[in-house]
Amino acid sequence: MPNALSLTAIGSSHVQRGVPCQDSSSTLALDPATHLMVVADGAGSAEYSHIGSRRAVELVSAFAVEHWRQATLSPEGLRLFLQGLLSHVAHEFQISVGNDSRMMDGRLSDYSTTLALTVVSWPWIAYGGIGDAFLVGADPDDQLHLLVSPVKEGEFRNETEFLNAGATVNYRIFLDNTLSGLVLSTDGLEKFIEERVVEDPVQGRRPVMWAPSRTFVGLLAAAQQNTPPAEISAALSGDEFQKRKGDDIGVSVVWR
Amino acid sequence: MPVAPAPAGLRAYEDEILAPEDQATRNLVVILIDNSGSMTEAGSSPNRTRLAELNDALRSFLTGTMHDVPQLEMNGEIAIAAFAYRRVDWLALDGKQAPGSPFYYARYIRSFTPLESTNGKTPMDLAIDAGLQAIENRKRSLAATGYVHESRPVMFLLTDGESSADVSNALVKLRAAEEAKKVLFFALGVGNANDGEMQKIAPDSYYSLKDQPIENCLRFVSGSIGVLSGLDDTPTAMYAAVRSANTQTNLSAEAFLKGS
Repeated sequence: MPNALSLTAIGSSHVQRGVPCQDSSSTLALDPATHLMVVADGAGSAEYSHIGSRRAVELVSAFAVEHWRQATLSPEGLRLFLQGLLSHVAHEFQISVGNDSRMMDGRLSDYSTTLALTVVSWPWIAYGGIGDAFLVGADPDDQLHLLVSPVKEGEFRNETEFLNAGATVNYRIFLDNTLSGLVLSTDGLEKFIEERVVEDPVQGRRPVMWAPSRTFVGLLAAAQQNTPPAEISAALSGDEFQKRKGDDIGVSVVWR
Repeated sequence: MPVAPAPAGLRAYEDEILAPEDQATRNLVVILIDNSGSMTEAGSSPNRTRLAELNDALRSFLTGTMHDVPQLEMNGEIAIAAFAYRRVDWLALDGKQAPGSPFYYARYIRSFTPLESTNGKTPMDLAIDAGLQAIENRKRSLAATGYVHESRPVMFLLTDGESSADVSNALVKLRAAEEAKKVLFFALGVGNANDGEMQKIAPDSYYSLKDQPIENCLRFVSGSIGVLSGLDDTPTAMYAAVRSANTQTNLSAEAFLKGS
């Protein structure tokens, strides 16, 4: 598919534990002018989450085009598309347990995965996600913009929510003519978003400054130069990148 | 990890990494060390005491292996206490200390002052209490100023004996903190550690490492923090993940401890 790439990279902590990469990703063509970016992050503590994340991405691929036929390019139309697709996928995901040949063992929680989608029909960008993920945009001058942050609710940052029929979906809809590239990522690359707590003399200190790393410019450039995904993946699994977090990475990249 | 040349332009920029004290998220790690009189007994070789081996292991950990753990090197804070007599002493470590707490930013620690021997007893109850309190205080202090915690704090207790006092009250607090997902607790036994008592103190997370050099206890600390990275589940599931990493898929316990 032109102008799009997706890949996963196994994290050093997963290599250490002897478990497979639990992230999955994909980029689909919904029509000649529209991409759907997909990333899923299998829960580290769930035994079969590598299967769960793969299944979630498969289900998105299976139903996305059908849902897109009824969608309209408007904030409400895009939100309804994402809502309908995620709801359909969540339902099918739940009934996959005990029915899909790869998901005969265990319970739903053993396949726990996040799932984040982004529809890109320039200049429309619509994000819908269950659990943590983040979205970075780049303009033609390589200025980076954090469109969806990796912030999560809860006492600890690594708490998250997983795909199920009752899960909360986080939506963000943008109409932006200035952006020329997007990276949707699981939390494996979140240490490449600088989050600085700054002093506020009135309210105390709060995390208010976010700065995506120039690494995302490099990732977009590598994708645009048709670098084989396996080559990028191998680099992201290497020490240079893994020493910041050591987690699996799942990304989807599109550009125009 | 494999070393693969990154495609042109794809780099991790070292100059973008914030100082640990400027990072918005933190990982808290506490290590409680038994410094009772029995630590002056012979260690794995007859010519060296357990304490001498422990000091070597701590130096190696704090100045070397710890810095390979992303969760410590990037935004980790570590506090180490030695317990003996009826006292728990937080160690003065190298580098920058988080204000008003026994925690130090792991990235800056580059040297270690050895522990001195004592002939005291083993007040595990006080140590567990002090560790829980230190974590709670630091969490409150960070939260009050807008910082968040990346993952559940982890506390390790290293001992070569048995508690010299009743630990039941401390265990009530520990179990409550574990259930509330406020802390994960690992106990590591060396020398003459009382396995029966330690299994009561840490039913799902006691590791008897008596037949191994003390250095491996600190390797266990590094390895466990790596394994726990990104996990968010019940304490039982988290402990099982570490135990599983310790034993599964052709990794012997020794291989795991050696970081294979």
